[in-house]
Amino acid sequence: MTPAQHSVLVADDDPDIRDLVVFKLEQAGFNVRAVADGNAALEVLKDTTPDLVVLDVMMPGLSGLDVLRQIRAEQRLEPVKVLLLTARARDTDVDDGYNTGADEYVTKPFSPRELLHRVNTLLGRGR
Amino acid sequence: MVSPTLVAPQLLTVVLWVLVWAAIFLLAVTLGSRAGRLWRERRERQVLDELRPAMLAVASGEDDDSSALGRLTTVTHRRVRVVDRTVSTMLSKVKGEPARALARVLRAHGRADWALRGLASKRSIRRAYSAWILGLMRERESGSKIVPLLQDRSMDVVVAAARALTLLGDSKAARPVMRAVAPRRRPRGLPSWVAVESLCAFDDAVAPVVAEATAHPQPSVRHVAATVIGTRPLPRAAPVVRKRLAVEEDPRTLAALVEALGEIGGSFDLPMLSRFAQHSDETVALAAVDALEEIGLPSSVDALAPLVADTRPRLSERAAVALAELGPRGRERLRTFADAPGPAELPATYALQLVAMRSATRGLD
Repeated sequence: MTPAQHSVLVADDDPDIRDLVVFKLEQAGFNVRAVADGNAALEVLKDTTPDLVVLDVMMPGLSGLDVLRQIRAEQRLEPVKVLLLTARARDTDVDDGYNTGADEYVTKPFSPRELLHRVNTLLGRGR
Repeated sequence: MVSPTLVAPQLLTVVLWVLVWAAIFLLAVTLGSRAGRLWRERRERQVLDELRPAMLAVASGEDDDSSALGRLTTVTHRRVRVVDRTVSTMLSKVKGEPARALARVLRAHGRADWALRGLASKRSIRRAYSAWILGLMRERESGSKIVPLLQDRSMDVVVAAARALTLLGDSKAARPVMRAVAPRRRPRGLPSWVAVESLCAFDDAVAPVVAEATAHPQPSVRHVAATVIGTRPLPRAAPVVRKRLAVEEDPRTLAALVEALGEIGGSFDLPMLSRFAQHSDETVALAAVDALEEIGLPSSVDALAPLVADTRPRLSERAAVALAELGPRGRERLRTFADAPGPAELPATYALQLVAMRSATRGLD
């Protein structure tokens, strides 16, 4: 599978982070779509099945964990990988993220390079 | 009869005109300032739109030939402020090489010197912002100049200074940070969570300062020290924690010490933690249950099992869940409780159901 075929949905209410993640992933050849909150992410997921969703946890309306729960509750979205990108860095927060069904957990401030490595690993892409 | 005229009609007319002109003037000022603000915002947006790709390239580490960095460092005077504001915001969101590159942009614009001068400003907002900028830029040599702000009269400045020192990560600031938790001249000290965050970010040389602080006369300082020992964690502080547990009277500090022992202790500590699980203060007892689970030894099961029958519902439930988390041996003990009528039956059943639900969610069963 060529990198361009991998699609990623980014949901973050911070425009700087959103633009940064989109820029980094697009530069790496991903097909990226971005939204600003959890409800919009679920709207997109009604019609599409991205390979990966990058979710902020604290967003207005539905939180990233709420979106993650809904993703994991729907069989159609079972193959979707989820990476949580959040400022919540306590051990209990990380546990909550993984227990809810996240495949990866990255804390802010983050290294864009490390984020790309984690995305590549999740999607089985070589470095 | 003619009524007397108290005010001359001409004067009324003059006053009316003055009021009309004042209203027009105020309206014009309001509209002017609004238009000015909109114009400035539009101009800033234009500058940002133009430079956004370069900022994103630098912030994402995709500026291999440093052309974007060059573009940002050489912007003209008018654009410097707009770029610096956005770069500062981005600097707080990324780490690694991109953060260093963004700091180079600010340095090229003289922002480090500006911030160093600002530490002595009369305005507290300027002092706080200057400290924060130096922290974001990881100007390590500025640490000694930020430290005095930990005793500033403004709490905003104290917090900004502590958070800047956190970003610098130099353990030389550990003692001043600890002092700021219980200052002599101010009624309120540095919030404990900010102090803990700082002390956890400093290098390992912080350990002696933290160990010493467990015996500080102020409970707030002892609480911070205990929390840091458990959070970092600092295994070498275990003897100090055991010693302090024998004499500590403040319940909040006691709970933090017990939690710390759960992180850094071993089988040797199980009897002591079991005793604290019977403590009359429920926070301390709950911390002891968590610590017994955290130690995670097979003998923890024997220490936790009697607590499932405790008369305090929160404690018995927490002990039951902790047993469930300890693996097959703990769950086996819970099944025994769940099958026999008694005070342990209900919490044991609850914990087993909780584990079953969690396993189903994780897809493990």
